[in-house]
Amino acid sequence: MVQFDWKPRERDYVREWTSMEAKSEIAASHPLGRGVVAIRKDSVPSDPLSSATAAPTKIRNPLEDNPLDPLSAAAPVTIVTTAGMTVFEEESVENDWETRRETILQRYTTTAQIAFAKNFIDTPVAAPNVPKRVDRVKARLMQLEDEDGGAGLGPGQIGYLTAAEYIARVRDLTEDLKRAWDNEERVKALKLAIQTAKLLSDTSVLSFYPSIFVLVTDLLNTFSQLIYNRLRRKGGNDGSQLGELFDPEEVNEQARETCRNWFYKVASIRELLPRVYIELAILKCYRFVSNSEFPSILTRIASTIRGFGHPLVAAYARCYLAQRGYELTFQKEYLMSAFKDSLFVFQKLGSAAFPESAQRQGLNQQQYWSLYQPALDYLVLCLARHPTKDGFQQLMNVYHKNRSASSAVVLHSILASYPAEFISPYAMSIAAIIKDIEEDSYSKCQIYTALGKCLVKSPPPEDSRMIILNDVWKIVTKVSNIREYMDTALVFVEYLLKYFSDREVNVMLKDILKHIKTESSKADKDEKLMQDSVYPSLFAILRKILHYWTDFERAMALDQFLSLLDVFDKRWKYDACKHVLESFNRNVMGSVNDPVLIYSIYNVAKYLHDSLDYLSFEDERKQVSNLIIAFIRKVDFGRDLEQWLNFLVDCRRVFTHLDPVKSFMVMSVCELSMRTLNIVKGRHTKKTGAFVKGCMAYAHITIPSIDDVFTRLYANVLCGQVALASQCTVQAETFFKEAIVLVQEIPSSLGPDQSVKTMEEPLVSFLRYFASALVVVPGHPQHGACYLVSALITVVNEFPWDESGDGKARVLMAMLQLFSTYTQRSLPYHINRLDSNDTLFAGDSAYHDEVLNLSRGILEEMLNELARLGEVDNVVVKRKQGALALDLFNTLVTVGSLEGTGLKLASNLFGLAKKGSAPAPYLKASHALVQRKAANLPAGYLFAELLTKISL
Amino acid sequence: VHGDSKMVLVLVMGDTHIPHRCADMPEKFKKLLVPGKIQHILCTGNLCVKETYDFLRGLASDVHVVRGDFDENQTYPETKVVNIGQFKIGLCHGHQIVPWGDPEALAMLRRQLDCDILITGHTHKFKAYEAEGSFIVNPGSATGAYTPLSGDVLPSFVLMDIQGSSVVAYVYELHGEEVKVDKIHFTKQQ
Amino acid sequence: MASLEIVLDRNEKGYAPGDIVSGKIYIDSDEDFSQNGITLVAEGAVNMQLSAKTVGIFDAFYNSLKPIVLLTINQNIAPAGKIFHGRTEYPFQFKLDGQLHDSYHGVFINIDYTITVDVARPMLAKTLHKKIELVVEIPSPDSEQGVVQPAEFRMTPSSIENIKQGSMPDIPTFTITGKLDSTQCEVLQPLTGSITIEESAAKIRSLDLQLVRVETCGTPDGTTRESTEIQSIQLADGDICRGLTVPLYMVLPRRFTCPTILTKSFKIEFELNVIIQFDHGYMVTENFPIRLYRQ
Repeated sequence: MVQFDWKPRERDYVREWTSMEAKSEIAASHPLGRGVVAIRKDSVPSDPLSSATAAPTKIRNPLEDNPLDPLSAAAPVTIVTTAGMTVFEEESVENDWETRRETILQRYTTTAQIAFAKNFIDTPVAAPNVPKRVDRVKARLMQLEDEDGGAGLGPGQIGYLTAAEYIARVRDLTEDLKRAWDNEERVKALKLAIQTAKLLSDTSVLSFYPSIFVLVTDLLNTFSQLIYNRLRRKGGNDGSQLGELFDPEEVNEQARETCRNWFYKVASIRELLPRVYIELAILKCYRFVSNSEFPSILTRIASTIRGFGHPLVAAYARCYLAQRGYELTFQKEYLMSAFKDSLFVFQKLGSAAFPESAQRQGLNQQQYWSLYQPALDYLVLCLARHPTKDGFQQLMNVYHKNRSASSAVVLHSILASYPAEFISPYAMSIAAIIKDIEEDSYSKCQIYTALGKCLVKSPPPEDSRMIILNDVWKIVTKVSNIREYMDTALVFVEYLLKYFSDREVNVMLKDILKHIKTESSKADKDEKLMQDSVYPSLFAILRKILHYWTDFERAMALDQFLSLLDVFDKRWKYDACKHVLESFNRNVMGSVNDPVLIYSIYNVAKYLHDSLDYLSFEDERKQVSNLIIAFIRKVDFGRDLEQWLNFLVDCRRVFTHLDPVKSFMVMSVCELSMRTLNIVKGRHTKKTGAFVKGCMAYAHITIPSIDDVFTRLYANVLCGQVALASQCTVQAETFFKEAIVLVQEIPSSLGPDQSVKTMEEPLVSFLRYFASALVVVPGHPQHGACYLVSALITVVNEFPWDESGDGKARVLMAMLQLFSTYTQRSLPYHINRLDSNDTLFAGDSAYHDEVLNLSRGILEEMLNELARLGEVDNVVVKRKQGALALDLFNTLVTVGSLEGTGLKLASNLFGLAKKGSAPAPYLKASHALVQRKAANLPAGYLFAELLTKISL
Repeated sequence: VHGDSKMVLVLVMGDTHIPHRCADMPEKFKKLLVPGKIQHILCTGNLCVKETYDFLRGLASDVHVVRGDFDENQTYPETKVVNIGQFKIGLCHGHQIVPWGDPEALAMLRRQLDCDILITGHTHKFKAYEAEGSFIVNPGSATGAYTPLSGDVLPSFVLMDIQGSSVVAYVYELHGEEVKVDKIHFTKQQ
Repeated sequence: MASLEIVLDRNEKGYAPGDIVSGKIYIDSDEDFSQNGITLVAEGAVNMQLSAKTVGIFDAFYNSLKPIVLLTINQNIAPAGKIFHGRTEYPFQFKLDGQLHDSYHGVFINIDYTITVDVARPMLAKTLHKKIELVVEIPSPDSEQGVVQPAEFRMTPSSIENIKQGSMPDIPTFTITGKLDSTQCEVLQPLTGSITIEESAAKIRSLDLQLVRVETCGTPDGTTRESTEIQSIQLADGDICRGLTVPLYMVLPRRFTCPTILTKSFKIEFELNVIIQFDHGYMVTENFPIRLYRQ
């Protein structure tokens, strides 16, 4: 066998670089600048995000320098969206019925059983035209007797359902209704609607009543829509369909007659409640007859509702009145009349407004009044549509005149519905009214909360702000119900944050903390209450503070702020700390150097870190790692490098078990070192030199604590280079040695689920990187020029590479490339002020020989590898062999030399590559390369000869 | 698939080293890089954390990344070949190249990948030239992160406007507070 | 298969004497057939029945009074001939004349008008037959047009008539006031008024408004007079708030009411009852005779 030799080609990197510079010109315009993109816009695939660029279509004056091009104008928007602005969901206004009805169904439920007719549709419906003798009124009486049993049923006809079953039952009825309608069974459909409406006269389970209302009106609305759609479909001229918005004049006579008949039918329903509900349900169909009568009809129905004996039933009927009237007329007289009636009833009933039946059902006053809330809120909300100041004043006058102990619930609705700027000017007198409300009739806190929300949106006059606050808080602070207290505090904290100074905020926080502490020190502490209500509110308060005070130092300066974190329990404290750290990272622009602030955040980060353990989710660990890293990143002591390093030392002490953080700290000292180097402009003083050594020592201690072996490998090589940059050659050596030792340790340190195989690809990549790093590493005065490389080669040779892989060969190839570089007169890159081997061993033939000797050894090893791969009987391995041979061929013809044994080696390798089916394009390109070189005579004569020996 | 006449913008960038060596991208660059302009992003790696990747995904949905020496994400490939228009573009971070940035080693990689344009990074130094009929590009570091070989790096990135068989590469460099834009033409040999 | 349909040109409003009743007869058939003549008959009559309660069931059965014929019109629409498949249309018209009353459907008295069309067919094929109702609505003569005549009422325990004083000593105190906007009512307009429970010691259970028809028939042996309910409307449900005024409101049911008719052989009159029921079974009523008219 021929002993092949490796001769590197002589190269001049500087000349190569300069010859490889593409011609460039200054770009007068470019695609990210204004103008260019706009001109070519038509040819860009349409893109919804690029709408901003459509703007500059007007002709621009080229002489006019418009500083704000559309691209820059669009930029802040992007930043906002990526930053993910916090939106407080609790502040969104729920105006429409759709969202309200969902809330009602969730909130008003019961564990009691509710009566429901067994055979619903078969129960008798009042038939208006069946003759009945007047003198038989007794029968009517008996019928009424029955109605006490719930929805007019005898005892045998009633079944009892749970809330969930009840909901399902009414939904089934809706389906029955639709089916009946589709089968042209109009009478059955009407009967179903009437029977369903009657469910609303059952007040035996009050706490479920609001939900029954929602369910029943859903069905009635469906019924109404069925009639409406049918009429519209055939209501036009000659039975054509009517448009969305039609005039009564367009409606044909038959449709009008059908419509009138519906109303005649409804008018003859004997019982009050279903008659009112059905008429309201189908009222919008009256559009087929007339558009102008809605105000008068609604006013009549409003007064008809006075006949509802149970005030809660009446309240919901008024709510339905408002709901159905809303789309029919803008006039509000009927609403005002309904509103007055509500107040009148409350006033008239006095203390009897809280009925015995409610007490029997175990409701207290507050619970009972809360049943009214959705109904009244909606009524008042409709009144508040297109509000005017006069309208509001009129409403308040009505309220004042008719106010009573039980009308607090109405006041709450007013505060929740009218614009804050109407309410704020009256805040003082409203606060006074609230003060007079009897505590057990209605939660004052709830009304204060509603008032507070208005104050937040629209501040009261300057001189009354403090008075109102004092008035309110005097009472709220005495509230013993911690849930209500916290709800109110949450709103008023925002009021303070917006319109008061830090001092007041601090006082408020103190009060809040006192309340929570008292509560949590109670012997019979209600843990569920704390979890469901207290902690969430406190968390929301924390969020509000950080939302309003983006200036972080301000929050940290409050002596109560950090104490806030301490009253949480473990889980909540973790979330709170996370939020603080997130806000810090998001809100603090640039860097921080205030030691107090840094120390506070440091403790927050430490808490998060310490809360994690090896059982924590990987995702959670990663999130926290990123938060801590972002925090450390923000700390910047400028030129006070010592302090900076000290801070990192502190960090290392506490952040001990998050790999990314540790790795980041190593990166930080590297950056510090490079920064220092920049500051001294590459020339270290004694002091800065010592400092960099300190940094390197820090890295040296920290790296071994990182779990991931590759992170450690790369960190060592990077640190080695950074140390070299500061001429700390001794330190650099330590890092490089460390890396070599680590490679040696890899196989034994592998976990049970990892094999050498999975390591190969990243290891090859690392070793090639290492080889390139070694280009500039100076040889050792005693141990020789190549002692690090030699050590590395030994480790590589000893590594248990995969038998069928090309890993080792690829690393060896890198070594060959490295040695070819070493032999050059000048290396391709250098480290500033550091002598590399090209200077240290310039003209040293022993060095040159050593390198060539090593190269020869590597080449031999490589050829062995190639031969070994050839022995494996496997197509995939054969292909690897081919590609590898081609790689070596390429290396040989580009950085090696064809002199001596080179020519033969090259042709052999090409043949091997062809045989081993190396990728065809690669083979073709390699062949073309030789062709090109051969053309470049006279130097190319060897290539010309090679050409004759290789063919595609 | 893009037709020949359509302009396709390809952002070529990488080596941001956030947060390891830099806090953020330069503001001036962020102002230029807004969503909706760019169709493809070819990234040389060393994005390090997911946040930077997410930022790129916000600019264009088609983002290709190869693994750098400090990438947290272990699943990025070592090399990648992407077809855009008529061009076959090879992508590799370049820390595996021996020696770093060596034209011969890069030329060999290009032959291996069989591409018309080869993009590598790692040196944090913008470079673009033609070799063997192909276009070799190094966009530099978009943040101007240091390398141990040089503490003084100009932040830069490249934007390739691909139309038919020709490319105009716009080179964005940040000199102090000023963005300098150069352009280089390359036409593919048929 | 063949079908017969009668469609009046005017549908929305009833006919009055002097009006021309016009319309179309449609014959739809999927095959040709021959007919032996098409005839139209319009008839109207007052039908009376004696109350079984007043005269006994057998008498009621045998002694039903002879109908009073109000209208008879016969028309030949078409002579015998052939009807082709598809739709065939025959217009018709006649003048309504004579001494007529409004259409009315009661219990003992009915005033019906009908239009009947027969298409006679040869042996073996059934005669096609169709009958529709003709609604007659006659504006009341000027002399009977109503004027607004409000009626106010006030109910207290002492105002109750049909209870002997002292027989119910524990009757709770109450004061109920109210008003009927007019006792003279247009049939197409709703009845309106108001009622207020000023005070009531007992709980209210229900408040109802009842519309009653009073039908009087003259017989050879004298007259029978029966009151029956037409419809009842609940005005209040449950113990309503004192002092809050609740509207009295009732839409008069079409066809079941008509202008008050007073003739020698029969009378149709109407009354209203306001019924208040208390929680413990007591009930008080206030009765108002009303007169209906048509504008």
